[in-house]
Amino acid sequence: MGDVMDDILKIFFEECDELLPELESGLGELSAEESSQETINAIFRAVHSIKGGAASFGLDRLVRFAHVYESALDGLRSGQVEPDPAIIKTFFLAMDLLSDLVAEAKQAGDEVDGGRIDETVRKLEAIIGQGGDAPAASDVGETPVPEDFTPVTVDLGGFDFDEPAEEGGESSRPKLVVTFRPQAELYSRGDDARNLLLGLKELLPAEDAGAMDVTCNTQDLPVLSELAPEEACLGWTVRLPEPPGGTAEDDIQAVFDWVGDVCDFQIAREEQTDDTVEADAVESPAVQEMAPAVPVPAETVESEAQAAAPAAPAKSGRKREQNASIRVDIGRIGMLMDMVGEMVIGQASLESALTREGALYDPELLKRLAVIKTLTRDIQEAVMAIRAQPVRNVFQRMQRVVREASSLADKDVALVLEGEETEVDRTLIENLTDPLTHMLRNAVDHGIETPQARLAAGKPAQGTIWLSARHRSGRILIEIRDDGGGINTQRVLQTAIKRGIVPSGASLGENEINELIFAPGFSTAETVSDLSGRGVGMDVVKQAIQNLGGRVNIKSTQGKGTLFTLSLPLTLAVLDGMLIECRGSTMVVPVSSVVELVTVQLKDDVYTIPDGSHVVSVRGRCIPLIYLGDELTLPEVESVQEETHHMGRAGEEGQLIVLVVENEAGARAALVVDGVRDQAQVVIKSIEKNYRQIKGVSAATILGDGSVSLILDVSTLIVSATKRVDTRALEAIAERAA
Amino acid sequence: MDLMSLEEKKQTDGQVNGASALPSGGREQMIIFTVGDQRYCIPILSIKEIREFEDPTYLPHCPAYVEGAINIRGNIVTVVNLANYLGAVPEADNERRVVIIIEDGQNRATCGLLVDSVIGITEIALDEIQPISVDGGAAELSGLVSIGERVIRILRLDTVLTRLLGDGAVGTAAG
Repeated sequence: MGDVMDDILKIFFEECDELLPELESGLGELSAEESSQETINAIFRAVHSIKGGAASFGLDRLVRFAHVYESALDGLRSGQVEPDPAIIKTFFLAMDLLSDLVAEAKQAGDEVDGGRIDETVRKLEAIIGQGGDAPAASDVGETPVPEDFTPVTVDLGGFDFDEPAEEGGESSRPKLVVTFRPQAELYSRGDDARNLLLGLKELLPAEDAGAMDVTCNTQDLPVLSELAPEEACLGWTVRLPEPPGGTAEDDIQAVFDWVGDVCDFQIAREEQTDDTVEADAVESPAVQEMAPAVPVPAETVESEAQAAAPAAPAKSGRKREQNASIRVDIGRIGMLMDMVGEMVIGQASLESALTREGALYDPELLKRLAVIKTLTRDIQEAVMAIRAQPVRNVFQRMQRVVREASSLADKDVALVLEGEETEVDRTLIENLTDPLTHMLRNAVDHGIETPQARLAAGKPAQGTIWLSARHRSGRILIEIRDDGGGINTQRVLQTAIKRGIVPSGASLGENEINELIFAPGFSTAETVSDLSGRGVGMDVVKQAIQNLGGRVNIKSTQGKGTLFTLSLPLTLAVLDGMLIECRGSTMVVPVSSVVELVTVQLKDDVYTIPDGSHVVSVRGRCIPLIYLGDELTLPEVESVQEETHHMGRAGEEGQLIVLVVENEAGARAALVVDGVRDQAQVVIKSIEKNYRQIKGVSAATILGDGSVSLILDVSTLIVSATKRVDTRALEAIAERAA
Repeated sequence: MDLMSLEEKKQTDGQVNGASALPSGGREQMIIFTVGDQRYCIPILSIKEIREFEDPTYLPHCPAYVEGAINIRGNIVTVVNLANYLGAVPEADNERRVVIIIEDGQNRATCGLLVDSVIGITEIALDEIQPISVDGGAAELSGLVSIGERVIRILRLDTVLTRLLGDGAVGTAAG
């Protein structure tokens, strides 16, 4: 049982991960004044769902806060509270707290400070106060009504109450009658009969949505003087046509799965003979069985009915967005991708068998093969698309980063997101959060000036950061632009000299100076702040981006702002590789680490240094030489390819083909190879799943002919050749000094 | 795949029938193969497939018994040359060489075993397996079983996989 609960709890947290961004984007729209009633409903729904879920797991702190939050939002929903910036800010604060509470419940975050909760609750309660005596949403509809009760509409989404079921022309279809009666316990868990009604509605196909007939059973409602506020008195009878596919009763059961213990319900089948169902429904035997009818004063019934059923069809006009999705284990998609890869290989070998010299030429056959080829490619793309996700989730998380960073730095900064729908592979998305967080914090801390300085420079007091994503030639381009002060090249250069990153007196171009902010140990901040200034920020960012196979560029205009451009591959499952030959083996070197391919003269350019290793001089720069075949202990190839084979050996031919590679830290090495065959996108496959780690090899891939090819780990090769992790600073000094 | 010679099969059947008379003990289907001049067997349920031997890709710094890596429907699988692994003399250029792909339930790892030939399938009674002492460096085997007049060695698959996945020192020493 514990396992089952754990699984369900996991699903709840996954849902929270989806709902919180929804909440955030809703609030974002609200502050951009693009909101509609639907937006407000979405915001409300997100908080409500989190509350409901949390209640079933007994996450009390979360439930209590979500409840207050929900109540505050309800004022907004009912139009009693106008969303001014101060209120929206409070809602954002509350959202941050809510997500921290979720993290706390998940045991992924620190325990949330009680003082913070109290303070936010106070702010929210102030908003609730503004809205007059609007009762909390979940209390509406089931709690008894004070005499001066103002009916509050409960939005039931797409119910169309203007169109009675009888007009649907489907009266001949059998109907299912669901009668349910929530107990007080259901409401105290934070759930709501409304959810059950919505759940039932979702069982119906869209065109039948109007054919659902809901009747509120009020016979248990005592006279006003005897009403106990905590008691649940209402029940509902829902008649819905049995959908053509046959909504099995199981589906209806499923709607009540969560509440089965706190809600009496019955499902009956009714052969439709009589169209008039309104009044008789209350008297249905099922209901009577559960609770004998009690006479109720007419006016109470009326206001109750108003409260329970939405009176404003206009508000329920828009249907809940269809966002059908399923959760699939990522391993299954991986398997599918593997098999599609094999299919591509199989198709290619079929093609080569049919088109090779001497093969029977059959144009009809080739035409059909071409069809299969197109299909195969389409399937491959479709499978890749399954793993693709919009960058929206990561981007929206950045809103909070900027919000927190700007309040810490006491600056006013707005983050504008563009291209959130741009899709990239999920593996990449997971790895983007950290570098983006660093960069945005830096933009707030160093990029945007203080409001006073901005006003003095003739800019609006509020700074703006744009975060955008778009596809460009098979890569994703992420831009972070701010309208701040730009990079102060003089100060950067001075700092770099002070830290010994550049020798004093060096003259550098503007771009070179800008690049210095990526140097390890560089930070211009005078005080070590909470935000940045620990001197790791941008250095770490560059490494992280390079590890993802990407590059970072800076453009800065003093006084106008800075633009960072990240160019990344669309997926981590695929790598741009250079196929090299070495002793008869084909191996892959990641293109992102290749600097250049040169031919060097053995007798002029290669030097042996006293420890027996070799260096090669490429345009005056000495780079350690790695004989790849020896380094990887590749077996010697006899007789075959005599010529190319010998090109890789010092002393036998006049020339060496050398591939200059660079690691993340900027250290270089020259790989001696027999030749370069091709450049291709290769799919990365793990070796370590079925074998141990191999030094100098990071992974493997499968080539077009189905053979296995190793992907070289350039970093470790360089480290083993140079025995130095980072040679860049030394080289930089040497170069500047020269 | 060659089946057992008729004579052998009869003998095996005789054994099997005799064994089934025993009141206790489970039975297991085994596949029998040769490496050098020895016969070995492994449980048939651990086998995923049997493939023709194809030239594998050499893995740098690998122990002598690792032949290389091959592609099996998108998975990179290491091929172990059992002759080298077991210290036997492999038959040179034998056309009947095949690779038995095995999967270990515990490690969830897959590897290929290059063997000289597959002989056939037999069923053995688990209580007929004679354990062998481990101190004699025989961790490669989990026991012996005699079928007819022949003694067949039972290969320990977890040892093979542990060596492949584990640290190189152990593997090199064994290889």
